[in-house]
Amino acid sequence: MDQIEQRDPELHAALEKTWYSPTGFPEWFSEVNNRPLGVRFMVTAFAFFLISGALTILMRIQLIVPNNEFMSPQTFNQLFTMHGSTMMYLFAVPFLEGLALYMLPQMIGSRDVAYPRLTALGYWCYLFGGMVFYASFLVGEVPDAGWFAYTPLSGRDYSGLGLDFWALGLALVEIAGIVAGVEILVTVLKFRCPGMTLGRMPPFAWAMLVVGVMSLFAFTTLLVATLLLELDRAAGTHFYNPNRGGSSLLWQHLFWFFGHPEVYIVFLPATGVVSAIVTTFSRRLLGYLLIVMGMIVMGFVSFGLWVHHMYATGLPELSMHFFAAASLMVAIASAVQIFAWIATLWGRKPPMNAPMLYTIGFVVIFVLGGMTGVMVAVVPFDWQVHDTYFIVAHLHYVLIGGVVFPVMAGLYYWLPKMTGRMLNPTLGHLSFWLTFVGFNMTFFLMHVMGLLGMPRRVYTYPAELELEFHNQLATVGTFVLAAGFLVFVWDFFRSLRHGELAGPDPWGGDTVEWTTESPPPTYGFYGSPIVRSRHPLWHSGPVPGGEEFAELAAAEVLGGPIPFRATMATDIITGKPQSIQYLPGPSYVSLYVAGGIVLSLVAILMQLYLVSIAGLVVAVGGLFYWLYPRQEVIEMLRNSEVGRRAGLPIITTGTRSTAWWGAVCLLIILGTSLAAMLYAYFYIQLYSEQWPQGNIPLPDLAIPGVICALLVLSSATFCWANRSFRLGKPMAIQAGLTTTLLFGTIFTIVQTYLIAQIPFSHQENAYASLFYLLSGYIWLQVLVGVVLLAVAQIRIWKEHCDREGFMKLHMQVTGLYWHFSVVAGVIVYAALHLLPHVI
Amino acid sequence: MNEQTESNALAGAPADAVSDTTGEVSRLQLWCGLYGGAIAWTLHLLAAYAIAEFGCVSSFRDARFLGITGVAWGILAVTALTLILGAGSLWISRRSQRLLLAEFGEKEDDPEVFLAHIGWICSVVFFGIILAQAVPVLYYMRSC
Repeated sequence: MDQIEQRDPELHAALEKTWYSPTGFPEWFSEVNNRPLGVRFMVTAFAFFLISGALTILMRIQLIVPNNEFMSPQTFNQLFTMHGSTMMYLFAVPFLEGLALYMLPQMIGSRDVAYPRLTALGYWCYLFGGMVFYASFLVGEVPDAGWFAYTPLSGRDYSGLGLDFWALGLALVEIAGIVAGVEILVTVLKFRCPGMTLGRMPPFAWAMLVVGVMSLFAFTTLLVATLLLELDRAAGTHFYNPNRGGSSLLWQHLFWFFGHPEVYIVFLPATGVVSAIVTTFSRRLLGYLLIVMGMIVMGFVSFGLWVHHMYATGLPELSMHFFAAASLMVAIASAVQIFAWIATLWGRKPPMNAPMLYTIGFVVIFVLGGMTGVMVAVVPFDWQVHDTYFIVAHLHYVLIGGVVFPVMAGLYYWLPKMTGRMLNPTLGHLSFWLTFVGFNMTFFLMHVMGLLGMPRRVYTYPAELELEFHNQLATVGTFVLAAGFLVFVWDFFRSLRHGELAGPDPWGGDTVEWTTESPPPTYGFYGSPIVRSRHPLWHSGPVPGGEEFAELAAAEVLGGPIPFRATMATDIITGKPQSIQYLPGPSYVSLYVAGGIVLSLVAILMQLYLVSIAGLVVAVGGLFYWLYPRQEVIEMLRNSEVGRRAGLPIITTGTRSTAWWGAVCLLIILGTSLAAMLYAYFYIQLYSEQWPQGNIPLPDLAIPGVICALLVLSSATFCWANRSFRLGKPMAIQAGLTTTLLFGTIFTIVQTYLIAQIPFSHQENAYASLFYLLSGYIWLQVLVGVVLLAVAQIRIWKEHCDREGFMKLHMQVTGLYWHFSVVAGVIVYAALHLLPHVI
Repeated sequence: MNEQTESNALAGAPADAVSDTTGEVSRLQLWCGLYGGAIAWTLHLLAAYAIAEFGCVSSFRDARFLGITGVAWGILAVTALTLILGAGSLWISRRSQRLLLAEFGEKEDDPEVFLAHIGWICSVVFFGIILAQAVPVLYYMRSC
């Protein structure tokens, strides 16, 4: 491929017109382009990082001498809670999401991400979530139960309003995490440029692909856990209340099922960043297969490690040792990657610039963190150091070493691409050495402090422990560390005006983001990136004889002006052109939906339940407006000549369509939520002396059984409708859909009646809370399905039988959702009504 | 690769025109090779955890056969089943790898060859992890 794109003024103007980035008030709020939103994510996350760093300095001042009274124990609790929560929820994940949103489409040769408005929704939810977190300072009710919020400490008996700010803020951030997962997953699968097969994907794209999948499972589980916590606090349920049949350990299970994978959700992108930097400066990458294998294995195995955070909770020893084994084995996958990078660097004499220094710093620190990770994976050792400063040292070596150092490396590496200006090399060296030395001064001796018995999360320590020197060194180290980051911030702002011009490819990189000017234009690429090797900028070579089609199609979509926003969609494995994907332009709808959600949640905080319902109505209304297909857009795409010229469809269905992939992601999210709720149900049942708890009678079998059977029948009638749709029989389609709708409606009405008639309150005990939860969940799921069916039926009436177009896609998506709802309904019926009679 | 498929691929035709089968290796086999080991490991962890967590607080822990608890037997059975599954994944991925290498040579960034390679490596690793996870039960044959 051509090394550097040449600007064609006419083409540039045309593309700028289509892909404009709105500015001014209020247009700024309608932004949907991936690059400005990526920058917003990164800037916001870095601001939270600096705030959280300031909290750290206050905590370290408190610990500089024994028995210090600089702050009260309550304030210390609040600060370490906000520090941990900010770093884990408001900095690490969102920053890497922002980096991915910006860089990923550039690296894979796409013009944007798969769902631009969803990106905007994610950003607004994240921003509002962070604001809700920090609003707690304004009302003097700061959360103080740790970033993990263990119950019963986080229950309403022991924690005030601050925990509600925490839980509701977190819920918004979780939504942002989930939508980012969907966004990244579908973008990597479908929007790679022609020729970018799975085996030619940059390691960063591989990392983000794995992270996208992980986010769907991990954040959804946390969302359910947080929802149950807030229901316990606000609605008087008893999921986590052992006094009424619930379980405190349930929270830990659900939380760490998210919490441990989260470490890898932030670490894996870092491995992608490091791979990119090591490749560029070594002019090669050894062990590509092994690096990718490491990512895939870590993606899976990280979900099997959650219990290693719970060794001290009294679980059966046998269970703990399974997780110990898995914890030891995951180190192999990490180690393989480290060896691959070392082998790549071996004998190549890479330049010791700031990105490379931070990369080497990452390897050193992360290996140390990994070694202590292997130590704490061993149960008896963990019992010795549990809740001591040894763990504080370990987690900071892993998270700062494994995330912050690679992030800094990535910033020094990619900021010239984003801003068009180089950072100062001398200041880069200074920043690195201050950060590296300050980090080790702060945290290395914490290993020793922990082994000598200094407990974590305690606001002071007695002089008799003789740890004053260790603590003083750590406090001084914190200031040195902070100075390292401030040097970077100063260098960044300085470079915006005075930095040397970067040009398109200042490092001689190998991936396609280096083909565009710096910063890239709003539309990404002028021409068509076509990839023919794993290092496309190094191995361009002649065009092989057989790729004319890809050339033609790519030139058509990415190389010429099109009257609407579009990018090329390719096959998920081979990267062959598959279709032209339409993308929406600037819109306020994401802000409306996020605003509705935040209004609804904040109103719960203030106990204004009617306002909360109003917020929900705004959010749901906004979603409906968002998702309902626009006839004018459909007509524009139908009449467009672009697809015909390129020989690619614009209106696509099935696995070719991003909407289909989005629906699959939605089902994964819904399935994970249901699994988390069922886990809670069976976990509480396991430790209950009787089931149902208390004097609650066994649930009715008959009426729920009948409506469940109707639901199963509705699946068959939908299949009939779908088959008729494929065969083009309008009457049979209407009959099939009407019957499905009728069965679904009967289910919803009867289920509403059954919930209203439940002879006990949700506040009775944990069983009662779970009964209401699962019954309500399935009711809501089917209700949404009924609305989808109704919309499908109306559209089929209006558009008759558009068998190859949007209606086909609508039927496919509705079918996926409806069949999933039926399966969920049967599972809930079996768990809630049938099994209590059997066991 | 059959003749028709090859001509489509060389012409760079849209992906849907390319057959889902490369010679004797189908895409399904490649996906099985890639995810088979991971699925076997997931099943092993979930089943072993459920048996240990539920079994150790029930009468299952006291039921003995040949002096070994019902919990341990359950976990050994699950291990055997998932190892068979993992071995199946190993075999499929190894076979795909051999066939594709014979057909295309060492073209590592070819999508099918790449999937076969990565599937083989992942299958080996997950097989090892299942074995490692089964080790603790050897120390808990008579108690939880």
